[in-house]
Amino acid sequence: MLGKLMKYELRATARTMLPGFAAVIVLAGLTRLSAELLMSRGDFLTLVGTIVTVLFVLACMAIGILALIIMIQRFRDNLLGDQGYLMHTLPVTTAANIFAKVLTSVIWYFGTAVVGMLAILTLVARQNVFSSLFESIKRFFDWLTPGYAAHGVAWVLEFLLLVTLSLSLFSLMIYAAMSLGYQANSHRGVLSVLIFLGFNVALQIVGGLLAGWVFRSASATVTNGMEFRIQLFRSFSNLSNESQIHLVLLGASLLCAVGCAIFYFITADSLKKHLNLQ
Amino acid sequence: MAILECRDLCKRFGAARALDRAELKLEPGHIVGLLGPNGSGKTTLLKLACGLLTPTSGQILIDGRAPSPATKAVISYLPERNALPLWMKVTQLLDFYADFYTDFRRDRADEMLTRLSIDPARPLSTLSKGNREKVQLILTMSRAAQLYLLDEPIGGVDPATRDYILQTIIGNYDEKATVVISTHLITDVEPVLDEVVFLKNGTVYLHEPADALREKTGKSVDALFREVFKC
Repeated sequence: MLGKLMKYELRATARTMLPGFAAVIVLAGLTRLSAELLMSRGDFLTLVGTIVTVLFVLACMAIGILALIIMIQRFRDNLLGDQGYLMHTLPVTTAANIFAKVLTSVIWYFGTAVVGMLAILTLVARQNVFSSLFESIKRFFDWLTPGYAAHGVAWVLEFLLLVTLSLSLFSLMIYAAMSLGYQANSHRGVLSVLIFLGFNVALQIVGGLLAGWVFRSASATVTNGMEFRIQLFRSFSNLSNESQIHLVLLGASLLCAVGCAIFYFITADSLKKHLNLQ
Repeated sequence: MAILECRDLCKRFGAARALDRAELKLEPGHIVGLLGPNGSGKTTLLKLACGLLTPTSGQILIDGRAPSPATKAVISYLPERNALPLWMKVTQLLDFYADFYTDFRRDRADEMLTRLSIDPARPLSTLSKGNREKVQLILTMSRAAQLYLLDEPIGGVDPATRDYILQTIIGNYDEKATVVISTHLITDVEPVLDEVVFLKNGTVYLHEPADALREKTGKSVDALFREVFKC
């Protein structure tokens, strides 16, 4: 059922996201053309070129914000608004409804990043840019030892996992705030924003405490109660650089996963037990 | 086994009691009028049955089970509001229902749309409010569900449409299924009702077969309703 929910979720959001992506790519192409053909041709044509460039910059900014707006709007309308009468009476679990929203959002965030890169490529591409790019990649892999190459692949995968979990955490934090805020009968939007800010403050505090714990462990001398932490830090220091990077990436992913679990349970509990459809 | 059963069912919203120790047992194969004035708990009861709300205490059971995705698969619910996404075309909505409900009968939906001259290729946003309501009703009644929960299906529509809606309900439900119609427009629904449930201040005030009730009181359900809920 998750696949079916995602199919409709992607279809609903693609209506806005795909034209936005197309606009960014087209404007990138026009900006490139205007830079090469118009900018040095005289006042009026320079003005046209400048306008196209400004439009491109605005479109880049808009597409970044668009994914966020769509994510919030879809959750509000589809699960907390009138469409909730349809979505919450489908024979699917609350978890499936939430994950469909989270995964779709993550897909669009990645899509936005890819389109951003394509736009940059469109701006800077020269005739031989792709051949030199592939040449550079080949040279890079030739330079890598088999050991580094294996680590490199693992690092990339771990990094992608971390980014996916971070984006999921961000989405779930917003969903949790909204699902709590929308339990009220009025001022639901404002309440959701305040709860979201509260979550952010809580995360900052937890992050600060964690960073403090690590820092104290790193700089501690042997005193009572610190032996375990010092031992832990020494064990980390004794690892190879490659392993340290793995550990940091996986550790950060684990922290994100814990955050995801917390905000998922808040969202799921609110939708299951405290749904307040008007 | 009862298709819908409430055992000592309570639902509170803060200090307000929407349902107060409600006891109800509906058997399969009847059209039931869930009647009561505004605020009597009709919508709350239907929302609890659909799993949109959770009871404060007591139990609500669908075919012997607490609300879950499995019970949602056997309930066809028509909410009071239009819950369909406006950006979708009617035909996409049919696909949507066919994807999620194995009991959805597309041929029946197509037939009803044709009879009402609703073009399936049109997005819902381009249809009139009345036609959107009809599409929602068609989708609800095109399922071969065990329990139909219809919340104010004839509220806010003209008398001709009311007749059409009631005919659609009678003509499309499986005779082994139960149809619960929540409304306060009793005159219109009275002819189709097999059973009557009066909800008063969140409790089940009365639950009887419509014919027996008329015979016992010598009044129509509508007249009895006016007497019981006299302001």
